[in-house]
Amino acid sequence: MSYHLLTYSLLFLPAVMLLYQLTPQKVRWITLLAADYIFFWLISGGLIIWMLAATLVTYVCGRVIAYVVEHSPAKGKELVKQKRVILGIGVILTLGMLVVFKYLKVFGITFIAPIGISYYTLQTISYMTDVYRGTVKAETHIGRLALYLSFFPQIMEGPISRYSETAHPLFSGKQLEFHNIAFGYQRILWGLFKKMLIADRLAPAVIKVFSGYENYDGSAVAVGVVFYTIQLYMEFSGCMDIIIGTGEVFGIVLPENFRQPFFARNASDFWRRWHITLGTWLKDYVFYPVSLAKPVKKVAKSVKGKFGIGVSKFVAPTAALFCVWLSNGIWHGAGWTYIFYGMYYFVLIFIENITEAPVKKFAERKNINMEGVACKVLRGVKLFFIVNIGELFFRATSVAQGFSMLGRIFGKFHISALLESNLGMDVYDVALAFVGIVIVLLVDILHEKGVSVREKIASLRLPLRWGVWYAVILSVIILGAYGAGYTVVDMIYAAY
Amino acid sequence: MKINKNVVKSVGFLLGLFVLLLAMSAVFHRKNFVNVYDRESVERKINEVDAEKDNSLEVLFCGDSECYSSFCPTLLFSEFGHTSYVCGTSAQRLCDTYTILEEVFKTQSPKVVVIETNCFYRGAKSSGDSNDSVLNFLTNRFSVFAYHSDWKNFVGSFTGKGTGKKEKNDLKGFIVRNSVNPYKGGRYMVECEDEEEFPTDTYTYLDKILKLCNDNNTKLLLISSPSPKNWTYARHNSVKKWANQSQVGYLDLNLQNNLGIDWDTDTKDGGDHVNYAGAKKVTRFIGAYLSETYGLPDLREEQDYADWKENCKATYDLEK
Repeated sequence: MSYHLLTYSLLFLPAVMLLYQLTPQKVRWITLLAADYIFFWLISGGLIIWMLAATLVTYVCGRVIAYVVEHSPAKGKELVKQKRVILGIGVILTLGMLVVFKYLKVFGITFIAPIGISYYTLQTISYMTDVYRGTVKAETHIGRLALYLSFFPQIMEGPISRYSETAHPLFSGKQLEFHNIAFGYQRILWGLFKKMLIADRLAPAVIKVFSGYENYDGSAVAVGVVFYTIQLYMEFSGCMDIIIGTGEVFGIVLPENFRQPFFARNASDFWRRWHITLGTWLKDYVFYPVSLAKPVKKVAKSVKGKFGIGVSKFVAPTAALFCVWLSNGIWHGAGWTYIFYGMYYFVLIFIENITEAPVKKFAERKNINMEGVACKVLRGVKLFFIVNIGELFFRATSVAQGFSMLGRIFGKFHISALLESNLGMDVYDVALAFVGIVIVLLVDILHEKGVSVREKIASLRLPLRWGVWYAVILSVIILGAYGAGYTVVDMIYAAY
Repeated sequence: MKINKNVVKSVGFLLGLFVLLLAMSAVFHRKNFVNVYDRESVERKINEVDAEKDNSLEVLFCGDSECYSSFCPTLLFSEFGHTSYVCGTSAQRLCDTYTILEEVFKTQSPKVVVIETNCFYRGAKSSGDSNDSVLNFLTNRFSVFAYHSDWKNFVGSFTGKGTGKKEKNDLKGFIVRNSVNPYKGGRYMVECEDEEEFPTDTYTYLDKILKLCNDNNTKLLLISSPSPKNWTYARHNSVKKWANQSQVGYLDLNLQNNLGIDWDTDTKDGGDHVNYAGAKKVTRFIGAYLSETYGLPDLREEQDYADWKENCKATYDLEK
């Protein structure tokens, strides 16, 4: 079972909707939880036991923290210390499961991981930390917590939601509404369009280039890398559309994970628009704790004494930034390419941070309009290179392969060789992928301007409205990259 | 009242969609190549072979990517003087093999047809074999799902890039892969009595292909290319059993120690396919086997095959 299969959107989801609607409102959460666990079971079978264990640990940790707060005679720092110990045990237990399943392979010990462990573990940590911080009340109903951790559309690829965002709406058993179903399915359809029409169409070229780059001219390698970036965006954001659309069907607002990332101003802005929920999670649970940690403050103080405030003001944010990007890299997997990927963005964002003010001053002095067309174009080109080089290393099997590919792009680039390269895509595939990308780009431009395309379509007269949706459905059916000659690619981010 | 209105709208929308699917299925309906899985590849291959001189090919190689990675016709000609063509296509199903052979036999009279056996386990269904059961259901009921990729043919017929164009392939269907990614899995052909059954329609198509070859006085030979990722002793046993029952030759190169495959250097993808270094070893081995077993003539000095000689010169540049 996977979100991009029609079995999910046309069989599993309607069956859950029907049962959900037939169940009395008070116990609808049970139907939803049953659907969550069946979905999990269909993919990971008996490994669901680890999901249940994580849920239990999280619940108990929250309850114990609440108990200590209410009943412990300790106050002030002593109380914080007690809470911290309980939180530490909870985090070690849930994070420990993630480490065992995901990272022990570094030492040659391999286990098949439960699906979504990277995602629900982050949700367990955020919940326990929020209870520790007192920003949410410890959950008394284990069903509500279990629903929050295991909601079936989120389990494979996120988005990583917070307890305060989804736990209560999920539990409330809100009645299904026609508007939500229609809008939810429209979003699912848009996700299928991106995945089946564009991402899976580009996949053969990406596989060919990354598995045999030595056989290609630098121009073809560059095209393969750009195709991978586009494939990843279409695939991940497309799956997010399916996931968020599913939530919408049940009236649940799941957090957005993408916000037109290619319109970003720089690398840090890109990461505020790409895999948003991972970024905000790392900000709240890594960046702030590290930058406010006593040892970091101490170092900043000593730097201030030696080098002045101009330098010391960067110490805490830079230490925190380093931890964020190291965590980001490691979260993606136990491989040097991921750590390199994280460090790549750390260096870039660090440079952006320290050069931001001087660049601004320089522009003012020289009367350069930073919002002018030329600057925007330059920024766009810079971001294009930054993102594609990052994705090259992210997808490469080793850092050495990444550099080797990069060397080929810059050292052996002959545009004339591109037409002779066999990238596994015929002229129709290339043309169709191009048209699909342009359509997504246009929709992204409208979204960037704050226009809701679905609302616009919904405001059309019925024949026109239906015509639009029929056209999208038929384009997916007729032009989708499935069946003979194509391979439907598994969801990329479900593997992380 | 509002709910009823929405229900009516929904039913109306779905009915409209149903009618559209029926209409599109009428458009995406095939008169020929009905039982072909990958029409585009099949047509391309038929057109390629069509570009060859009539009755010039002695051996045809069929199968999936194992086939076009392992057998190098230009090398076979330059070292043994046998003309051949790789009719293998990516993920080829036996239904496609059958159609290709049926068409190729109209212009060629090969003495031997070689089928690489990895495709036996792909099944031979012409449609509806993904792991998406709803998609399979729809594929079996609406031909627009099965033949949707035919839009390329429609567009091609307007742009002049459509099918039917003879396209000569100098490497005779072989695809050169020079990259190296070693196989580190150790010994893989562990002798056993187990058999891994073919999908049922594989038997149907194998029988059809055998009959087609017999009708054209062509010998059928099954070859399993070296591939630790794909091949097992249980698969070997099943192929051997069918070959023995049908009195067809079978050569499992995974069991040939004297082939000399070095899994550190001769595979491009960790033991899935051989690279060009491996293909040379495979081609030399089967070249000797074909000469000896089927008595194929050496055509290197024949004037009619001068263009083959030219192509073979290019073969020596393949490693560069």
